[in-house]
Amino acid sequence: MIHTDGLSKQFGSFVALVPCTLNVPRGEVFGLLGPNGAGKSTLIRLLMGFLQPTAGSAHVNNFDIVRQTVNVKSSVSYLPSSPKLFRTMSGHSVLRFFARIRRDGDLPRALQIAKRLDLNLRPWVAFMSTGMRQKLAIAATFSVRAPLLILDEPTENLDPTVRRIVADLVREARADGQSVLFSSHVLSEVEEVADRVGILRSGQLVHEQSVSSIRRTHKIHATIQGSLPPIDDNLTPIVTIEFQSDGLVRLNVAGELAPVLKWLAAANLTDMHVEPVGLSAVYERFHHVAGTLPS
Amino acid sequence: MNRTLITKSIREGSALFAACSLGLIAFTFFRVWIVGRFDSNRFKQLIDILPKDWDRYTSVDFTWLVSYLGRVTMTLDEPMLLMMIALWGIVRGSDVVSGELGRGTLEIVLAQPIRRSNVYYAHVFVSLFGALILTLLVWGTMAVAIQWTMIKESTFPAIKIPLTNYAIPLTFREPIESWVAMRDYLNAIMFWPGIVNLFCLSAFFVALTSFLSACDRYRWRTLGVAVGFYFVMAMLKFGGLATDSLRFLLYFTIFHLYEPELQVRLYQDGDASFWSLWRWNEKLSLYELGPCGANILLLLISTALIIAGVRIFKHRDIPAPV
Repeated sequence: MIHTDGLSKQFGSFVALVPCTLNVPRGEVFGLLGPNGAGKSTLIRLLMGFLQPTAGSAHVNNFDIVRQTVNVKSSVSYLPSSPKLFRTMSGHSVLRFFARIRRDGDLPRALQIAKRLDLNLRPWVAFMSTGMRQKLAIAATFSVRAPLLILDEPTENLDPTVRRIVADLVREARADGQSVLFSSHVLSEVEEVADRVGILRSGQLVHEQSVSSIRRTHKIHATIQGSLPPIDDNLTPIVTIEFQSDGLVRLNVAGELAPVLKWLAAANLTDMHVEPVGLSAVYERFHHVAGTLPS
Repeated sequence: MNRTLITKSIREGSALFAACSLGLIAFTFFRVWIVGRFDSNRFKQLIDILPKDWDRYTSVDFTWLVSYLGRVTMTLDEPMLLMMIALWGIVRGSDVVSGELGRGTLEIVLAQPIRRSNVYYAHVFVSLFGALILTLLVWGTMAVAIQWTMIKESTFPAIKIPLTNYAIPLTFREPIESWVAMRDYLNAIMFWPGIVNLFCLSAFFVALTSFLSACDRYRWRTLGVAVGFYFVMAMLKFGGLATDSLRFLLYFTIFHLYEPELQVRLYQDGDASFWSLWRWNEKLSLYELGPCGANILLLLISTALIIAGVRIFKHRDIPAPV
């Protein structure tokens, strides 16, 4: 659905996006992670045709982002970060505008989503709170059954209940065969809905990993008396062992946990606890967290 | 062009349009009505005492200018009316790109499957159409005001010479004041060349500010440049008319293409140069564009600015809303 090949963007001497090669297959939810200024929005804005690439190329739904912009936008329903809507229109008028401007616009569906988000459509946008405006933009974006949804910080300014509904909407979109590019700072949300994540650092795509492989990664902490039994050959690629002082041992498991636990059952372990590594640990490898340096 | 975008643009400009319409209707009616309050004969005495140099600031001679036709035509050259027409053009034109960028709504519009040129053309089309309606409103108001206004005229009693058509006015007697309808002297159709010229000027302002807007990201800067341009052009015209040595400045000001009095005068006189592109201006001793040529040039410049604006807008980066 998205294919970029060495796509880059430079503003004068500032490199906003280092040549980036990325593939997002049809029907996948791809989480785009990175701190402010990492290049997430630049990548999205390039895909949307708002910015002209400095080098490289990109295709969305097999359409070139520079030469076939209208086709690209027909394939995309886009939710910008902190969306700005027409202040002198009521919520209902805004949804009607978006339903009319696109051939695949669907006002009844937009109204249905707005109702699900518990959004009052009567006031003018100018008199809506930030959260209401975000909900309005969400209703407009999800009402379109475009092959690709690009969501830039979709849950910004939303309460936990609405965040949950947005996550449900993303899952429903995936179930309908839509692809989703989901950019967010909230790691737990991305982990919850994404199939795969990409991490950007200083304009560079530094890491890509499937969420299922992240979910299968665990840390096992235990105190050992004696030594570990000999490890099976099939476990060697997925287990790394670190012996620490006072008989403490830490195992990093990047795969199925069951055979590892079966292997450890033979060892004399006490105080054993297993914890999932999670997306935050992967993220921390590439970005400063609480004053620590990236590994 | 996209109908939804046109509807949106009409909606956004409707408040300003209503304000400009009301202002123009009220001003034009009042201005024409005022003409009827003063007898043309009194102005003739005034002309005699004015220094000859004053004549240089008008494109037509004073005697024509103080006639009812001349004075009503001068409505189209009033700074108040011009500023209101320019206000519409400048404010709506500046909204095309930099205005939408400033409000942050351009991003969400451009995210829809429409060409950038369609976004631009829809906005410019509505602004031009608004300018056309405003100029027609001015014309319509002139027509209504002419129809309704009564002119106070003072004439001396006269003695008619028997068996002839001659009458001798008795100037030593008190003049007799009478009221006549302005429509007996004027017809709104007479002013169409001036109205066409006014529309061409307003189209130029729409096109210029749309172009500036396409190049810029801040509306306040677009407005500043457009207003600055307006005043520089006005100063160039004033300078060109004031001094013979600076006459060449007239070739550099857009306001030299806006001469409603001259256009109405030439049309009324049935002058052949009305339809020609070039004419020799005896008063200013220079070749200049004829009424038809001036209007064509204004429209050509406007078209060029619109096309250039679209080209710039199509290829520029759209910064993220702040």
